[in-house]
This record gives sequence, C-alpha cells and structure tokens, in this order.
Amino acid sequence: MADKKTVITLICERAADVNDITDASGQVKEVPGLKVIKFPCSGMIQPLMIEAALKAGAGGVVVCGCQIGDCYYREGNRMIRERLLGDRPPTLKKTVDKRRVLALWLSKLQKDRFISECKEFVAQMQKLNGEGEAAR
Amino acid sequence: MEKIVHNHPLRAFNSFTLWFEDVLNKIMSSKYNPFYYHGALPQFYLWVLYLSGLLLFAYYIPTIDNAYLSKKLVNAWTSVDYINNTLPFGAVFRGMHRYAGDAMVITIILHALRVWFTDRYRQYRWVQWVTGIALFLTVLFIGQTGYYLVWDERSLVLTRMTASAFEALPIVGPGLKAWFLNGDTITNLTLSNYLFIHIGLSFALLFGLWLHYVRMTRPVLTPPPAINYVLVGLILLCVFLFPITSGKMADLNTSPTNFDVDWFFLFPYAMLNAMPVEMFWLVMIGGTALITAIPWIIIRTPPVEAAEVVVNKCTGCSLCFKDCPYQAIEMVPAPAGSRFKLLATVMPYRCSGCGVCVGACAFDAIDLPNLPDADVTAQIKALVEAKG
Amino acid sequence: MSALFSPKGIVILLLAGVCVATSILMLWSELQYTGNFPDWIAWLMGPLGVSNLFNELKASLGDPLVKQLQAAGAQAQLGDYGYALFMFVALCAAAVAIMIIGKEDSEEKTILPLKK
Repeated sequence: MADKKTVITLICERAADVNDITDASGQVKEVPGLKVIKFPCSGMIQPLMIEAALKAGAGGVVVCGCQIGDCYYREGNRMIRERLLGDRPPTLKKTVDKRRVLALWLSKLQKDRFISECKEFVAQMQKLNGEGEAAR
Repeated sequence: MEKIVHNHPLRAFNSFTLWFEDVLNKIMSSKYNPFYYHGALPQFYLWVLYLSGLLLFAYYIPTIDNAYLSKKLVNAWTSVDYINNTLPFGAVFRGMHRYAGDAMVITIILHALRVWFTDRYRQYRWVQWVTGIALFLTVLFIGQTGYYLVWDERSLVLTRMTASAFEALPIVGPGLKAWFLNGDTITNLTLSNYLFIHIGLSFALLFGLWLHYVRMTRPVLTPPPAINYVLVGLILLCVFLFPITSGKMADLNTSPTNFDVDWFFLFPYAMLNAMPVEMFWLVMIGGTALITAIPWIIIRTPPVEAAEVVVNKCTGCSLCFKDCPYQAIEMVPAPAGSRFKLLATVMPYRCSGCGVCVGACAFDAIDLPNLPDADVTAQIKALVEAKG
Repeated sequence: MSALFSPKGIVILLLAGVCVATSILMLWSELQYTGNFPDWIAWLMGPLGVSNLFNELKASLGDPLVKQLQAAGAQAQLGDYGYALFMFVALCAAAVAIMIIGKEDSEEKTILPLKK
C-alpha cells in the first residue's frame, strides 16, 4: 500500500483558506491522503520539519504561504522560499528527495487553486511511489 | 491561532483588500502589484520631490518686495513666474513638484488605509503607526508652506489665516505667530522663514522615516523600476491635463478672500473658514490624538506571546537574529560556562510571535510558547502514521 | 531570436516602438507641433480606410480637452506641455513592456530544483 502515503501540507493560517475544507483531524475532504497543519506564518516552517515528515513516511510535503510580497509578518514567506531553494540557511539536507516537496504562494482567496495544485501533486507522488515499488 | 483572523471587526475591509489585490495579482502578478509596495510609493515620491525641488530652489528668491519691480528687481512671485514661463521645462518641473506632493499625500493615505484594513498597525507595530501620523502631519505642513512660497494672492490669504489661527492658541499663541511670520508682521524675513521651514522640515522627514523604519529589518524602500515609471508618468499626465498657473501677485495693501482649495493640502483652511478657530484647534488636536490612539483603543486580540530562547540549546549562530523581521532579537554574550560566545535574546515588546526565528533555527533552540516545534513535529508524525 | 516573434515578443516590440515614437513626439510638441503632422496621419489613414477616425476622435475626445487646456492659458493647439503627455505614454509603454518580461519571475508555485 505504499502508493497511499499521506501528503502533509504545512500552511500559513493567512494563506489559502482551508478552514472550510478540512475536518477536525486535518484531513482535506476533497483530496484523499492530504493532511494540513497550520502555522501562524509560513516563515515558522523549519526545513527540519519537512525532513521529519518525509522520514516518518510521508509521501510528500506541500508548503503553502501567502502571495510573495504580502506576508502579514513582512517576510516569512520569502524566508521559507529561500530556505527551500537553498539560498538561506538552514536549508534542506542534500539527502532529501526534492521531488517530494512543493511550495505554493496563494492568497486567502485562492482556495480552488490550492485544491487543484494539491490534487495534481498527490497524484504525482502516488505515481512516484509506484515507480519506487516497481524498481524494488 | 485562528482567532486572530476570524474575530476581525474589520473583516469586511480586510476581505475587500484581499479581493482587490487578488485582481491586481491576476493582471500584473505579485511582483508588480503596487499594493505590495504601499509604503515605498510615498517614499519614491519623496525622492521626486527632492529632485524637482532642487531645481526650483536654484531659481527661487524668497522676498516679497515689489516696490522696485520697474527696476527689474525680482521677488518670490516673479521668480516663480520666471521658472514657469521662461526657464526651459521649468513649468513641467514646477508641475511635477506640485503633483508629486499631491500624489505623496494620496499614497500615504492608501498606505495608512491598507495597514489599517489588514490589521498591521498595532501591538509590536505601534512605533510605525505613531511616527507615521507625525510624518503625515509634517508632510501636510511642508505642502502648505509650499503654497505660501509662490506668493500669490492665495499665499497672502493663507499666511494671514495661519497667523491668526496660531494667535488664537492659549499661552503658545503669540510666540507661534512670531515664529511663523519671523517677526510681528509679514516682511521679507517671513518668506525666508517659509523657505527654511519648507526645506528644513523636508529633510527632517528623513529623521522621521528613520524612526518609522527602525524596528523593521530590511524595510521595502523602493518599488520596482516599472512601477516607478508609472508613478512618474502619472504626475506628468497631471502636468499636461491641469497645467499650473500662478495667481495674481500678492499685494500687502489688499485683502483677497477667495482662493482655490487644493484638497490634499489645504483642507485645514477650508475647515478654518467653516468653523470658529477654537473649534478648529479642538478638531485638529483631538482628531490627531484619537487617530494616534487607535492601536490602543481597538484591542481585540490577546497580547503577543513572545518567542522564547531555549538557553541550553542556543549555539549563538545569529541566524534568528538575522532573519527576525522586527529586530526583536539581539545577540548578547553567552553566560559564563557556556561553550558558545553568543546567546540569542528576545526583546518581548518587539516580538510579533510570527515564528520566523523558529524557522531560522536548526537547533530547536527557539520556540513560540503556544506552539513549540516539538509539538509540531509530533503532530506531523501522528498525521503521517494515522492511516485513512 | 525566436522569442522575439512570439505573440509576447511582438507586444513587447510594439511597446518599444510606442516608446520611441512618443519620445520623438516630445520633440515635435516642443517645435509647436509643426511639420504637417495631421496631414501625415491623414495620408496614413487613407489607405487603411479609416480616414475620418482622427477627426471623429478629436471631436469626441479632443475638443473638450483642448477647450480645458486653452482655459488654463495654453497657447499651442494641444496644450503647452504636450511632451509631458508623450513622456507619460512613453514611460507607461516602457513599464508595461518591462512588466510583461518581468512577470515571469513572480511565482505562485515553487518547484525545487533537483540539483543545486
């Protein structure tokens, strides 16, 4: 059942509004296998947390902050973006499979964009898991 | 954490701002959304004002003498007339100076409305709010002195109205009037005083702006060049559509009463015309005090829970200090016996509780009290392991 | 080179053309709009079959504007500061062209590069 791995979304509570589309456990209703953890700002997300999620067996990690230029706390989304791209310490370890990390920068109103991008990403990750199984 | 957004009394305004900026993002992308540079817009117009003002300053003569005009002696009005009608491109520079001032007021108001609607002015941001109001009042006064400097009939009316409004103030009144006129009556010294106030306060704005920016790391000072072109273009369009013409030269022996009101700068004079002077000062001072106090009047969120350093984990690497957007972390010498030289320390009164420092820390050595990173990691693991 | 002839490239080239043309118009306005420019436009409009367009535009948009400018003391037929208008157009054309090029840098989605 490796292709049913959970995808974790680390999201800023001011970015794409997921309140109406998640249940109490953080499961996104419209995208099976996608679970959400909210942060006060995407700048709080540590590369360590992404590594921890992948190490624990997550299929992938979606990082979602506000539109670049519109961080409520001024520059949190720029910070995590630069960290993911390896331009600002601390960065992701070299061993991390970068195909399994996706970053989205969506305003509160862009819920639909969030869902469609995540659906696509979850499908991609399931395909990736399948390839991994086949190679084994 | 959700409460911050959802109990927002200005939610409708916030939603409107978000919707409007979403539309702009779709048209010109977030990189060129002017509202993502809302604070840098008036700052850019300030540079335009400095440059155009420099040219005007080179030709401006701050005197009111008009007794010797027949001998080709110039005064303030004739020097402005020379700039306007003889100097190549002088009228355009004068127009740009005027309309950049108006544009600066408009962009300051948009900036203030945006930070108000999106709730970005309270708590750890109070210094920016208070200095912002002081800066706005200073900009208004600088603009008004600009209207005195051209020394047409409107300048004379405004000068007299201002002098009598100052005089009506208790205790400080006579002193203020004497300072404003640079003596008891309107003389040549009055205009040199105006020129000093106009230019001196303009540079004092830089000090105010330093206070405005001091608690922000890496403040956004300049919009991208493409936006700057449009900002300059818009004032040039105004120069073409509404060319500036001088009024009649001021004559101290006359008492003109009517004048055109530039609503961006001269609205206080419209108020002075409409109400008794005591009422005017009450409205001005009371209104300013009220607006200044907004961050403390509208309290709807619990106080920020500042980030806390885990002393025995901090390696003094300074990453959180560099990344903190509010200059809320300082690096102090580590306590005796520590393996490291420095220790990060949070200044709670500056902290916004945003957690950027948590994201910057590779050693789990800084935490938000209401959301420790150990809890987040545990939650991630629980979610990954829970099937279904 | 092929990027220049994509639809986007053509729009950018057109905007650059506007920028150059309006920069020349700035000089023309400083020369009191001489050089029989309207005739030149009419000559261009004739073959295109829109010879009355300019007159109609001037009647619907131009005349009120000209009246307002003359009320403000303008001596030239299109106001004394025509070059300010042309500079506005040139700056805006440049800005739009730059925005079309620079828009590509802004992102709503970041895919991490595999090799760094």
